[in-house]
Amino acid sequence: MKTKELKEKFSTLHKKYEIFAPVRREKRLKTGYINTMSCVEFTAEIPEYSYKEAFFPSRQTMFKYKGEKFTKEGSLKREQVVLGMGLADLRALELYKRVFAEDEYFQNRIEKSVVVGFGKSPLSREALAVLPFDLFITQEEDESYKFLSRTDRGSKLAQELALEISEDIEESKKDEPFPVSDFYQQIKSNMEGDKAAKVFEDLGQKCIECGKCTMVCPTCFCFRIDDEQGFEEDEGTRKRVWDSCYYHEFSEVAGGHRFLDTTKDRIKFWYYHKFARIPNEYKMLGCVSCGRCTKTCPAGINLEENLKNIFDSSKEEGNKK
Amino acid sequence: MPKKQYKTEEIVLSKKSKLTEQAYLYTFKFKDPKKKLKFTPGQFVMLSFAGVGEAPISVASSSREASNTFELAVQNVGVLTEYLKNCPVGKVLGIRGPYGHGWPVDKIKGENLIVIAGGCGLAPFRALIKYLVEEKDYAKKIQLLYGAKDSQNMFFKKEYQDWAEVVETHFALDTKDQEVKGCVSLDEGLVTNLLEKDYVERDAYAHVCGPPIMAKFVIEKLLELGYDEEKIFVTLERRMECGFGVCQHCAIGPYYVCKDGPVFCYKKLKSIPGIIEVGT
Repeated sequence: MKTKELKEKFSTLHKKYEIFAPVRREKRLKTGYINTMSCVEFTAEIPEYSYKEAFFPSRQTMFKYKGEKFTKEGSLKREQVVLGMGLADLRALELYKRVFAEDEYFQNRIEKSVVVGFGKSPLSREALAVLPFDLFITQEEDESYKFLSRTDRGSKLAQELALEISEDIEESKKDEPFPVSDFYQQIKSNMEGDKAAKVFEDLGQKCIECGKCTMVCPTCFCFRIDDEQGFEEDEGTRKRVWDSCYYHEFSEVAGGHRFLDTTKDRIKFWYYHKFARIPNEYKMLGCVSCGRCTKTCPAGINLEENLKNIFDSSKEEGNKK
Repeated sequence: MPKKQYKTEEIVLSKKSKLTEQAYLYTFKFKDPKKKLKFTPGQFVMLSFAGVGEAPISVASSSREASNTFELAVQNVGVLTEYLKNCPVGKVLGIRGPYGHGWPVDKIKGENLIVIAGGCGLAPFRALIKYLVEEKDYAKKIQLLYGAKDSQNMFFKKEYQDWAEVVETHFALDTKDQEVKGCVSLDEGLVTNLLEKDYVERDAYAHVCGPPIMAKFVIEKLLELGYDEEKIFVTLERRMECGFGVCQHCAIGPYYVCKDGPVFCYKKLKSIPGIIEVGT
């Protein structure tokens, strides 16, 4: 199957499902909810925005209130197809599944989602087996497409679109399918031992705390809970809103004290979360190497470089002694 | 399996009594007469005010029996607390929780305990003190060392006499403006100075709550005086949004103040840079 036919097969999908997919706007590949399939791009390119909006919306309505009465809100009305997730984004989704295992809003969205992955062949079947997709589209070297199914939901969608499944991927039964490599073990230990003070001193000077990296990051999930007033004085909604640990209010308590008071403290908090706290808590890394943070940073901060410096910080300490 | 993590129960403000110029003791009851709050001393709830938001507040009433009514002692410091202060009796608010780990009640059974509090830092101790007063011989000797600006700023002033049979109370005021009933001693100065007094039990558990700077100096002094770091417990304040260790606002090193705390053993905290830095 070639691109033209693939697009045709998917062309009416939006009639039955909500669609969250990559779209190109002004030459930039982004992701979002769309109304028509014609603008969807089938590509292995990593979009600027992640797919987290589909599962963990930037503004999730939790309750509406009228007077003092709270009523639960926020369930998806229609099933959705989340289309085109690459390996890195699927890995991020796996992390969210662990973080939000007990979260009714996230679980509701997962239950109502068909996750369709996309990647270029060759792809290791072992790598695919641990990722949380229903259907996967592979782009073969001759620009043709194949379809792999991992769940009943995936097979059902394939049937609906008259796609021929070339292979079934069996779910992996591994206990810890995302082992943290030695390189990242060292980074974790350097973060825990506060070895990289110099790295964060420098980053504190560079970072402008715009928070863009946290917005585009597929694994960032900090949030705050806001009440939003409606048109009437006594009604409104309670929302769960994406937050960023780079913002100075992030750690502010009543009375104005900020526990993370400097840029350096806050950027360190971000690295600690991704490379130490998440591995401890969820047995996988809090970074999926998608490169979005580096690409989006207006101050030119490069994650890969910083990781190398954090890794080296324990060596430098050894040399000093 | 998904849980109703954010489900908020309706509560009615049934009584307000003034503690200081800036603080009240609020009594709430669940709207549903069958609902009860079961908690341990030092745990907190997320108090919810439609249109304003939520705030973590430690429960101040007795924890001995789960009850339909409960109390929160609240200092007026932020947005929600300002609304609360102006709330009329009968107003419906919400809570979810209780959350976190409170004071290590099991550990202090049959042991000496010194409770060290500063200002509104006495609030998270009220549930513990009430428990110990009700369970008279639970701990060996209990001493309360409480510091405040002046007598006008002391929490629970009317209750010290009721506690006196079980709790030996010593106060340190920045300004000794008037006598306070129910205490054994009343000094001028910092609560840290009280720790040096001969009457303070040395073989004891030490529980600390107060502003960060006070906690730091108190712990420094406790260690200097030879208290076992495994017997020093301190409660931390942080911004909280979820209350169960997801939103990241209260994360400190590998822990969450909401889930693993708010009460921590000092031994656990000392390795985390920037939390309580003794000797700096």
